[in-house]
Amino acid sequence: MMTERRRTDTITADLGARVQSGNPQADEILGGGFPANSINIVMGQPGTGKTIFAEQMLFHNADADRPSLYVTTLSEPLSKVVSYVQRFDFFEADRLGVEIQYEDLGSALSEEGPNALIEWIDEAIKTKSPKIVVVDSFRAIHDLAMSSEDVRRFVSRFAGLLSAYDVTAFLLGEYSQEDIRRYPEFAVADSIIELARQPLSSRDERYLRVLKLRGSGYREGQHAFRITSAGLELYPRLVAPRVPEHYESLSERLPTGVPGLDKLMDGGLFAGSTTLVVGMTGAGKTTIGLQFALEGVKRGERVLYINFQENPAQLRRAIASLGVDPNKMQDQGLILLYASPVELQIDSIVVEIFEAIETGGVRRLVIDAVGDLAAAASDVQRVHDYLYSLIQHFAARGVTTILTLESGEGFTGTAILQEQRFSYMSDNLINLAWSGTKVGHRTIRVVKMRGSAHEHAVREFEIDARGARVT
Amino acid sequence: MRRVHEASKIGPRPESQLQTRLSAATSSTGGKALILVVERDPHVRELEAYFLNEAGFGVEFAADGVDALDQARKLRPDIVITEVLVPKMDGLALCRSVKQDPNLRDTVVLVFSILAVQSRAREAGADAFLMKPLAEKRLVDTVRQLLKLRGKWDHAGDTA
Repeated sequence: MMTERRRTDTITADLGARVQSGNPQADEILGGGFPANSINIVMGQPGTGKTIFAEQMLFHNADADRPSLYVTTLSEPLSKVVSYVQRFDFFEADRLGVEIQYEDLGSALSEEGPNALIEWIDEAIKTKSPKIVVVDSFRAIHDLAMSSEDVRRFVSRFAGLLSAYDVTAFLLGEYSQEDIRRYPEFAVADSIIELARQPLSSRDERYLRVLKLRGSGYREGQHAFRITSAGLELYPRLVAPRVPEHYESLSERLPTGVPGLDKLMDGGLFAGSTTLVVGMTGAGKTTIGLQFALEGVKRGERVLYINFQENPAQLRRAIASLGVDPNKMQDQGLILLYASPVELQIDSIVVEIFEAIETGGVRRLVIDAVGDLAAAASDVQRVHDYLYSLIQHFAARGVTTILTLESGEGFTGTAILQEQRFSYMSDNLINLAWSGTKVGHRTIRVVKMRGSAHEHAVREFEIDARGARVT
Repeated sequence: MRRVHEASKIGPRPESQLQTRLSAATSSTGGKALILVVERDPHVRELEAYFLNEAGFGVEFAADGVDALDQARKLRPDIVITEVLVPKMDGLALCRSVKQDPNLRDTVVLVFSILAVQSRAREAGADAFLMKPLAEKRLVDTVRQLLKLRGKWDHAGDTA
């Protein structure tokens, strides 16, 4: 009967298929985006940016053949969601109603109970072939009086229906950390994204964090973001490079630009090393940093000088007082980066530092002072994590770094702790102090230098019109 | 609003828009093509039935492999669509049994699974493999294509 051999048609859904978030940085954090055909939870208190995040994704994924559906439940009136989204750049009015469809299930839910949502989605699957479904807020479903058993049954049916069909779902909600253990939707979710806002005195810090992502690696930890007219502007947290490949091979010594100091340091700083210069106000930290920077420029290197206290005009005056023409230095490769400590956001400054190093070919870097960075951040541990990974990146790229740190502010516990932590992550440690025996005299001591036979003695240190020098 | 169907059978529906595009999707008995769906997941089963009915096919269900083989022998469906993970006899064993049964040699088997087992499905003699989740266009297109191919085989058999 059958003379032909039947051919087996094989259509395999791409197991690694992703739904992009519409935000390249978020996709980077998520290892490429959300898994397709998944159930995802975007959690966060009101005002953390959940709706914007979801809307940005919907407009990015808008598809003429398969609409995306945005369902509001009991917490947010639909009119508010729609009118708010118009303010963003990604909003395109002609996609509404066709490619992106909104539906308010508030009254259906309060009249018929939570099953109204399942019935609506079932109907939508059969009549609209939706590609993405957003439920805002899913947590509000719990406000409908249900026993925990009813909740489990409801979530199981809801998840079963969504998993059966080729659709990616996003459940937004004002969930707290405790809710993760309490509510069954977290167990069925393929990914959990948390958005958080931490109010500081002058501004808010916002974070995105991945709590769960099935079947894929992701970038852990808190990633800062801002909300702009373009949506969420994210600064993915830096991760220390696994292999700092050039690190070991850099045996070249760089002159510090401070006469006498190279001799104390066995010939100068190793290329790619990090040196922490600690001292009280006026001890000469900025002068050493500037001389190190200017020495690099004289040697034809690109140098980045980051400062949080003095604005560029003040810094240019300081350079001029060393007898050097600041304009000439800037023409020859000196980059001055100033950030006011009041507006300083560590994540954005880190992005700027990286851009300068990557695109500007920077070989020397001065951060004056790292304590200002720590002071600007709400979470000191985060600053340390940042600096640690930054230093690893500098080392891997052969960038030689000086970090300055103000010491001895009343010898408080936190100041000493900071010193210990910063010194731990630095290769070299230099201490500047006022002499205990001679009034008005400064001293310098190389406390630590990795891989070098440095001098340990306390030496006298002078600063005059020509700059700083070891005497 | 439509309720989720829990019934194991879904009767024929009135002709839909989709059905008018349907060509030659009829079984040898002259009616609409009959599909036996072997599936345990109630949501997949219900959606699968809905979309296949909409496309103009008759649908019968079996919830396990043994029941499926019995029904296949009784009903002689045009297509068996089976998940691999079904009780009593898995979908691949079912596929082999259908293919070995001389009375069912005209029955096409489509393995439709959450597992990426295309090569095992091919070894078991399946005519096609589709991976879940359900996407109605992909499913209905595959079913139509399989029926069309089968029509050609039948034709080849007649003229041989």
